[in-house]
Amino acid sequence: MFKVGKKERTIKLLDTNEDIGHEKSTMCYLNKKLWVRVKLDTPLCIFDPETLVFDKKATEEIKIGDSEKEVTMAWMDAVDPKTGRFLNRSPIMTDGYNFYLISLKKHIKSEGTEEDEEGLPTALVVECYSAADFKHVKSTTLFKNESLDIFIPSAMRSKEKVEDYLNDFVMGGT
Amino acid sequence: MTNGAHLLVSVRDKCHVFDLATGIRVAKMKYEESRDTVMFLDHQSNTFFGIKNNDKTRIVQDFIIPAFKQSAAIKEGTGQVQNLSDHFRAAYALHFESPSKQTNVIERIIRKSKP
Repeated sequence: MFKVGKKERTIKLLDTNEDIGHEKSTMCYLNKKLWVRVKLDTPLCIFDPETLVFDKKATEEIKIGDSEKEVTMAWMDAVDPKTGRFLNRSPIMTDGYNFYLISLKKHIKSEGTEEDEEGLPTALVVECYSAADFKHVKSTTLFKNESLDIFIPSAMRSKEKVEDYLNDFVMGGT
Repeated sequence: MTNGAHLLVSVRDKCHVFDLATGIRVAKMKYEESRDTVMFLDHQSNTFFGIKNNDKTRIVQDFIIPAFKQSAAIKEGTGQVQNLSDHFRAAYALHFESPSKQTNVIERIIRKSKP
């Protein structure tokens, strides 16, 4: 279970008693359900917003990405070596039409360097999936200027600081 | 938060607005006071709500960010409007459903869009 909001309303995960703190989850409201990305074996959980009961069936039916290439929403301890993608406390959000996830990804053009330090993902990427079928629509890397310098400040480019940065990022609301 | 055309990223004492078509930042703002702990976007009106809590008061501020106001990406006939309305209602309910004895103060700070 974990707590929601200032009033500590509780969401119960039926298949676990693990206590998941607010700092280990992100959430959004989409298709009349409460979507929670959480640090568990099932990283994307769906809840009934009226009862706050875990909707196991809806959760199991959700597949993000294309049918032949499902995209993981799992929390990672290290960068995926195949994709260069890194998810930690990555926020999820919606515009009501699409589902968005903000990931970190290795990016070759960084301010003051020819290439990012090995193993450190340093670009924020907005991944967009259709809320109708959850197929990938587009991914957009965030830049701080038209010279295409990536958004994350160089001072944040260490694993610990990136995670800290993401924590602050999420607290800004989604 | 996003309306599909722009993305607002709030980090520490600053917020940044990105064009989602290019990924390039189009606006950067620094919070004037201590940062709101919670922010929501009402997609139907493209109005942001910032919520501050302290010991005795809960302050709701509403404000407009011009880039969002001008790039409303509502797609009619897709159910998006209902989705968005629900989204805001649910977000609001999660924080306000259990009224406390605290004094609720609502401040309206509407910053007009630049022409």
